[in-house]
Amino acid sequence: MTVDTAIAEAAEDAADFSPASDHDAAAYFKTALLFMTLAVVVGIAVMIQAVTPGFLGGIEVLSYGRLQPAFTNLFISGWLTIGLVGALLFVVPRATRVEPQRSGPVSRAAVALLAVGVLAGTVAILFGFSEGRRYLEAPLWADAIVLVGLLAAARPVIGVVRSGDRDDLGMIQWYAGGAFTWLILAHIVGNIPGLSGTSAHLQILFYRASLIGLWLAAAGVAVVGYLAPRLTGRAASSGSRLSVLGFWSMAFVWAMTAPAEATFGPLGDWLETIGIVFAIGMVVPVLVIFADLVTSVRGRLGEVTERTTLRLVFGGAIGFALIPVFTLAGSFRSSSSVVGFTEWVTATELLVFGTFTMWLMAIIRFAASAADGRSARLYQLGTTVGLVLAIGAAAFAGVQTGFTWAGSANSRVFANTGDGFVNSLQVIEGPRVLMLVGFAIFGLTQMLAAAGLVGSGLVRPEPALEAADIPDPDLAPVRPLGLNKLRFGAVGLFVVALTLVGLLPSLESEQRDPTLLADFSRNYADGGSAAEGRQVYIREGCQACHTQVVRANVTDVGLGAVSLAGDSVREVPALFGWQRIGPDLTHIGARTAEEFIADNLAAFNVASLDDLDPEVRATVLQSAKRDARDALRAHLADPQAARSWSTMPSYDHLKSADLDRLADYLMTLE
Amino acid sequence: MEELLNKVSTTTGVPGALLDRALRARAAARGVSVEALLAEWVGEPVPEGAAAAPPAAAPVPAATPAPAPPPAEAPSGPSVSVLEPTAEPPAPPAVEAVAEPAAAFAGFPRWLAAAFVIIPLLAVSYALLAPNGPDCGSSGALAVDDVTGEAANCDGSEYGVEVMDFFSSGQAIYEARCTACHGAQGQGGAGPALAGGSVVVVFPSCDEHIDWVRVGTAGWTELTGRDSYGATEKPVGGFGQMPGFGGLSDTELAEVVLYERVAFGQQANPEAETDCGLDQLASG
Repeated sequence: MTVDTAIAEAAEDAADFSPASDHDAAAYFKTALLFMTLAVVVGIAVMIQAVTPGFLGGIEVLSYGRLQPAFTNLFISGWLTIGLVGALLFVVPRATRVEPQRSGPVSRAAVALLAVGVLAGTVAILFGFSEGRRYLEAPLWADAIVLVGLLAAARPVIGVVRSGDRDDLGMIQWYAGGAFTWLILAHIVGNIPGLSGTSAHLQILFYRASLIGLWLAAAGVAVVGYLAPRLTGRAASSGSRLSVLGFWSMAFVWAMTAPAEATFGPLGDWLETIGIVFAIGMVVPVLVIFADLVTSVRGRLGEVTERTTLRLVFGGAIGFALIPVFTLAGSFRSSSSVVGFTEWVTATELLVFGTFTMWLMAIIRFAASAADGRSARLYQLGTTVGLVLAIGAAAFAGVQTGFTWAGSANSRVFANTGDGFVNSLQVIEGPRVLMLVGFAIFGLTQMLAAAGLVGSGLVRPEPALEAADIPDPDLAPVRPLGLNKLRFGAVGLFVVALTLVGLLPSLESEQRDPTLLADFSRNYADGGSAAEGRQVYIREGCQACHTQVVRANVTDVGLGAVSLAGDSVREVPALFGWQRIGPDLTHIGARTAEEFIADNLAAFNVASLDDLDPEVRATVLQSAKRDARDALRAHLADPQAARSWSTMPSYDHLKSADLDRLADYLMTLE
Repeated sequence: MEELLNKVSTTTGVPGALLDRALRARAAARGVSVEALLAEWVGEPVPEGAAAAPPAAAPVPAATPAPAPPPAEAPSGPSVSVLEPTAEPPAPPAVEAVAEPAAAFAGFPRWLAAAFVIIPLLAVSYALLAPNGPDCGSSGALAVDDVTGEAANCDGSEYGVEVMDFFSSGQAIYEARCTACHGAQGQGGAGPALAGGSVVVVFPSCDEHIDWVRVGTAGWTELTGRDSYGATEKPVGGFGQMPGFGGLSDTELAEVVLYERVAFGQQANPEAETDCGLDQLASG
């Protein structure tokens, strides 16, 4: 009796390993594909609105500011998260040959809770119950439902992870265990209510970094870590030095890249540097995972039968490798002056969406035993062309507008506000159309593929394990990673990251002491018209297009006083924003009033306000403010009246009282 | 036994639980103990595929959790039997060298191992070189003005080149104030035509031109004591009432006059700037 025979016999024993949990995985996949279809439709509508602001105009629940967060919620929580949960439920039992206990009722409950939570959250956003925080717009109760769903979903998989040899978990178990742990922790941390100012902003940034790097990436790597060797005829790898390194470096580095998005902002300089340092470090896990993937298929590409699925794995890997590149471009101070707040942000988002969609579709195709053939080739083509077009156009548009805004400061004919801003948008009309076309191609391709997959039945019985080869002698065997090490390591590193980039910065006095602006202008605690207007601002999703942060760099010259951390301490939540599809609004009240003050000065024939008598000055200021408020209100109702090229949608459909309140709020932004 | 099972598992890449199950099933089926069966499995040199059989007497070094040396077919059976070797097996020592990795990065592609060192070094040096971001003036960073709080040059001055375009400023004033009487192209109307160079003929010097525009018909006599203006002695009030534009600042007057002299009088811009005293206001 030799080991070889033993393997063959063991393989026979396990040949028809078809866990009952496959049905549950199929349920997750079905739900996820449905959400993906919804998300694509909404996403296409959103991109059309970016080109033609009048599209779906006048319908309150379908305005850009409401559809855009609905899209991200559906895509991330509905498609990617639910799909990857199902993928882990599919993959982990296969990697361990252990059937999950009681997967049926628990998983069914989880699918229901997740679907209800995401759908309810999306509908709530559309009907105006947005929380105003990026990727976390769904109301707290919807997030609570999702959290319970996630806990239920994790249970069968974590049970499998724990039931195996606790001292020697395989690579896939690490990533799966870590992924679920981090997803749940991030979900909890992200939804802590009541934070204000820069703490609130850090919360959003931390959530996004954890979501992408610790959930999507970890779950994705678990999935492709199973797929790549499996597609090339090997048993799932029990782990190599590369995988260990990849896992721990990912756990250590990714969450701490959170502040990297806020370069030049009111966060402390040292914090931004930490973000950038770890964003550089982000290259390590990405490189390692890429190398691990390549190694796992090395020399066996001739045996690949499901080429499309393997191509998706590597297409996603290329996208994954590009994520640090795009992130770093937006983080380094020099380049962030150019691409910060531009369509580059959209490009990065689409890159993340595309990468994990490719990996998720790969595992779903594998599970459904989707065949290679003409439709598979068309699918490949549509996905690649769509993504490259959309991401490329967005990146180009971002660089274009960035240089325009930064360069305009030199001549003091500013392009980051007013007419100059609208003119700078004309240049990217074309790229915006290309983004729409690219995304439409990508999305429709996925929808068609989804229809095909669901139609043919989502999870087929696992084909028999082939005789495992001797593993690659170049890969030194790994020291076992035990369950306790995984548990404490995963949670511990998360807590370290949270403390370093979340808690410690919030304790700095600079971040907590209110400035004059916070106390007198941006104080909404007492209610009133401006406070209600602020709720209208959040409800309508104005943050999707407008930022409220002025940076101390060349690009933001002309936007007014640089934002300080203390300016927003009385705002719950802080409305910094993430993209300038419209101009920055930090000092919009003062800027608009200044135009009217200038007119008054001309009429009085004086050079500055100081040349006037005190009473006259007071009257001039008052009337200028009134005129400014009226002008802003008129602009909200008809943005194209003043500037026909403006891409801002009209808010004429809002109640007149709401428009008044919104205008009052904007005037407090002085 | 755990150890041996792990060894077999690692060597073959088959998960431990799977092997364990097969081991027990086989042991039960054949009526031998699990330990004996496992010893059998391990007692033979680890084989693979259809290569040669190594000498049966050569035991696998127990301390080596190495990737397998080249394997060979071996017969199944309860006893360790010697097969006729059909070929010499490649020597294990070469594998042993790899089996006990001395260097931390043994087994990684060289470029990857280099990256593991270089990238953290880059990151740390970035942190050390610029812990609080770039200095003012580099990477787009600017200073913050103490008074206004706005972004400003590192020396405190206002950012951006002050492009003094007197011609355009003057044009704006002309179009707002003068076209009603003198026409958009200076063709005249209620007032005399300015186009065709008459302005520089009537006013060879910019100063008098500015004075005339400032005080107009009503104030000219009071200002100068004359009842005609210009080098050509045009009578005051002869072609209608020229209003006085005393409300304009000196700079604005100079600008609109410059515009007239350059646009309608064909005077060169730099020359007109000097003439009208605007060159002192121009800053680079």
